[in-house]
Amino acid sequence: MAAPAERIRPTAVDRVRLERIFNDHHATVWRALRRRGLPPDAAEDATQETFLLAAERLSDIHPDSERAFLIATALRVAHSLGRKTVRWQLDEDMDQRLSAHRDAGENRADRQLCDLVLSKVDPDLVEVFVLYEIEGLTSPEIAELLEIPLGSVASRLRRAREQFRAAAARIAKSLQKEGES
Amino acid sequence: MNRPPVDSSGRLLETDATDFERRLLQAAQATGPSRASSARMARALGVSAGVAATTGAVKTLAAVGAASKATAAAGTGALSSWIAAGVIGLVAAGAVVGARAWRAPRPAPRPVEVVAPARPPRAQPASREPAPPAVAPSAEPVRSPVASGRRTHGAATAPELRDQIELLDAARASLAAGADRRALDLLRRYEDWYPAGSFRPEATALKVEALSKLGRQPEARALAQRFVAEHRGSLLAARVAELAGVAP
Repeated sequence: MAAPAERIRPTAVDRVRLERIFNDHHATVWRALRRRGLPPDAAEDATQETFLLAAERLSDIHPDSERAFLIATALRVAHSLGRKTVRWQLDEDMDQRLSAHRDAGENRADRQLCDLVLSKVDPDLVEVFVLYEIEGLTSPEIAELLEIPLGSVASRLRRAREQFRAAAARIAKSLQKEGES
Repeated sequence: MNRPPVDSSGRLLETDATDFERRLLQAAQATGPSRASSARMARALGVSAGVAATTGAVKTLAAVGAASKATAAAGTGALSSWIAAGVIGLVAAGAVVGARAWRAPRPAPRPVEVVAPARPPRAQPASREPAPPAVAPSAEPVRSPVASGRRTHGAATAPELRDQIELLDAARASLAAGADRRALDLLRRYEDWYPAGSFRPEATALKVEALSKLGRQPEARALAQRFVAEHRGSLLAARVAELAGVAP
């Protein structure tokens, strides 16, 4: 991977924009890469590569499509690294940006539970669910990203949501029973 | 019949998620790279990481220092890390301002011209001069070699100082990683882009190290001898001489 210093020569305006999109989206990009199975160091490198590619094409990226462009680019980078399949089970060492009112243990437990629930969702559906419900992409963005019709996004999302909610309900019930016993 | 857009039903988190579902989804959203990782990526891209938005020059330098310490700890670049520390000291009055300028919030547009020493300074203790005031480069064009042509004099803008540092950092990192040929390429690029760069001595010292590690001893020694002759008595010259095995 080429060193950043030799690749980025943006104008002042571009640098401001690059900084903004980096701060707005780098966690999303990193997360997408981690969910593709990249270890943390590789995800960091691939995130950097993603933004380098974005920096080279900043003028081509519509402001409303920045996140979609970045995720699409990240997925291509992951693909080029041989990560072609989605792996929803995340590793223990993922970092957490903790909200102020929750401690690390609670967040970690919830994340693991989320991964468990996601693992119960049909693999063909889960990507749409994650992109929509967790990463916040719009359905047209997902359609473009995954190169599927908008209607397919809608149907996959509906089915994924049903499965996610059903699995979450089962797990919540199990946890409740454990708590009572 | 057209299906209603998915978005019209809203996202679970914004509509009817149960408390449990909300917890899970929010936990998933809260996952991200560590702050250190974010800072590394931002630094490599030459932007300011939001998570480190409050950091000023001191913390920036601390990060650079930490990086050089890591390099030293890895045992792969004693000279590199030493030079990293030297660079920090050398530019305490100049590049620090550059670092502060591109990391700090950007208030009023104001032209900036951080003046580096006309002659690349020799290694010596950090500047005793008071640091120039921090400046805001928001309206300043990035004066890259590509954009502004080769700079052949010593005055460097804050962004340019930063670019110089990034290039040397990249070379240093390559050396530390054992990518000696790549380091050499980067150092040649530095020489090409910044023929009167503020860190020419450090770049030359790194080049001696790279050549040595590549087994190109005759070139390393010749370069070291010239360097020592031009910088005789300096700490950096002594190090270069030691590395290349020439008389200090």
